Amino acid sequence: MIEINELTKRYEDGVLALDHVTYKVEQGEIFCLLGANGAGKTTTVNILLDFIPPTEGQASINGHDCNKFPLEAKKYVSYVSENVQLYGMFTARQNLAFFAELAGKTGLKKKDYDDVMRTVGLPEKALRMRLKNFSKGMRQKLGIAIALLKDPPAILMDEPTSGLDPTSAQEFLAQLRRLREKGKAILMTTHDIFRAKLIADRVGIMKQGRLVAVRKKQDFKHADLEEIYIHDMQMAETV
Amino acid sequence: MLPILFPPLDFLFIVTIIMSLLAMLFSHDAIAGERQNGTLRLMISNSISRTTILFGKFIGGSASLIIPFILVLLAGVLYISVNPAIQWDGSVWLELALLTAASIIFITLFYLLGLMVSTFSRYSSTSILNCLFLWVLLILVIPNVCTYISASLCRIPSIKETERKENEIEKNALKVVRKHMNEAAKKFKLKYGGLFSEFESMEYGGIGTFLFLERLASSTHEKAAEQRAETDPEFKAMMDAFRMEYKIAMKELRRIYEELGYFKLTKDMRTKSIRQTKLAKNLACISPFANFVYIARDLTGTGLRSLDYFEQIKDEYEEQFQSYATEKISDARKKNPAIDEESLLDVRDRPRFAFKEEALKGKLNEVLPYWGILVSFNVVFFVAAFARFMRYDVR
Repeated sequence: MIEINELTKRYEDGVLALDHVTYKVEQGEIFCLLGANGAGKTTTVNILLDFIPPTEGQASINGHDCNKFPLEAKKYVSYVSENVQLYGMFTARQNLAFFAELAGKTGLKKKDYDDVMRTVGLPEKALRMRLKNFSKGMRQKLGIAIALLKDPPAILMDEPTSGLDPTSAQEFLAQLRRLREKGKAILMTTHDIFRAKLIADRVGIMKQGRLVAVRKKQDFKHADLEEIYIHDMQMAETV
Repeated sequence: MLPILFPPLDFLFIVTIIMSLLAMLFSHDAIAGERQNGTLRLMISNSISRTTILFGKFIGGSASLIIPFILVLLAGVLYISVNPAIQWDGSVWLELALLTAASIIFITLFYLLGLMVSTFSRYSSTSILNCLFLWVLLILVIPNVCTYISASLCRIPSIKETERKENEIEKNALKVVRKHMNEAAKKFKLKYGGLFSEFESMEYGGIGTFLFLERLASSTHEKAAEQRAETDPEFKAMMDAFRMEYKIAMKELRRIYEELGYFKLTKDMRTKSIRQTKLAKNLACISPFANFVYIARDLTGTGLRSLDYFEQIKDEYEEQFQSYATEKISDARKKNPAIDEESLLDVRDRPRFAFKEEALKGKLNEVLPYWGILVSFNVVFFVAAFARFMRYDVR
């Protein structure tokens, strides 16, 4: 569903953000990208969403090249950022309606909004609240609600649990599991090794633009993912 | 008194100052603000092209400015149409419609300028500062600076300076001509003796007396000289010869005037003044404000062109009156040769001055280039905003 092939990105200032990275995220799979700041996690997401062009290689969603046919590729993907920023003066419902229309979902009814709010764990009355009164946790949930309304086969999440309180983070992970059950391909970048271990089917470890290791669930299910992460990082340094 | 102290807000002020400022305030953060708030990323993460976003911003933003503007204008139109004291005919309504169209182009121009600046900025704060700088430059600085540039490039002498030069030439020329006439008088005295003394006592029959006596001769003396010439052929021959001398003196006067450029002075001042105004007007065209002012003033008949048009109508009337007066006097003299400049004539059939507004077609021809410039500004700003937004870093 999400395919990265020999993806390389060198910025104008010469910094190599991605160095021939290759992996795939299949349907019904959660792939977590782990790595320090500047490892290239967000750059990957930015290329997949055509915010920036790659220097080499390809990134595709549902078989559509993200650089050559971005509008086609973006039909099949939703994006949840680290800080879901919406229009503060609009109510939750107005924000949902606006972004749903951008995603091509028109004519949504009250029931559709109520359902999606329930699914993400937001009270129905929140629909009438202005976004400026929402907590970060509520905004993240609304970000997922926007992604759900679009209902694409792939979801990109850039540090979505960052800054969430434990309860909100737990609810968020539960939501991710439900999405996986629905067959969504989820690519999530995170620093949070603990939550990556809980939710990921596979983990990609990145260092200085390189994908140094890809670990399957069975590799870390009964092991300490943090130790594996440090080990893989040290091995990458040795290489 | 109060309107002079505090002039009322007129249509031109509302459009050029208030609406242009509002337009830039509306659009300055259309892109930079969305990027800064993070909503642009979410928007572009959908299957929606940047072109659509930019068009959406332009259409939505412009509509939110233009719709209230039109509604307020319609309220004014309603007031005018129900007020019996205001009688507008079809062409005035058409002018108002054209003025409204020009206002819409002007408002969208400033909205697009703000949008363009927004696409060149990363933050709303820098965008608003750049917008305000451009607004001051285009609305206040350029139109005023252009008049100074034009004044320094195309200098015109002051009225006082021109008058001083004219007086100097006049004085010198008259000195020469007086000398010529005085010498002629001496020669005539020698040649005709007592006859010329008699002619002198008749104040030279009014021939060139303003040169000798620096005043006009009385009509009694003129008549007396004419009557004397009718009865005495020698007197007539002397008078004709003296008139010939006067003609030579006047020819000399004209030659001196021409040589020293007397007739050109006022004309030159007027030509230079027109040239200076034209240069200032053309230079100021780099400001959309100036173009809109030209359109508004020329359409409503309150600008420089209207003044020129009035001058043209006035000149035509003067010519018409002049030929009427010449014809009237010549007809009257044919009937009664005794009629002179002091006689009264019946001029009830004289042509009357009637000012007629310039036809809309003429006004349109004049404002079309300015209209074209305003539209071009719109296109340039949109293309620049478009080109920049296509490469805009939404992160």
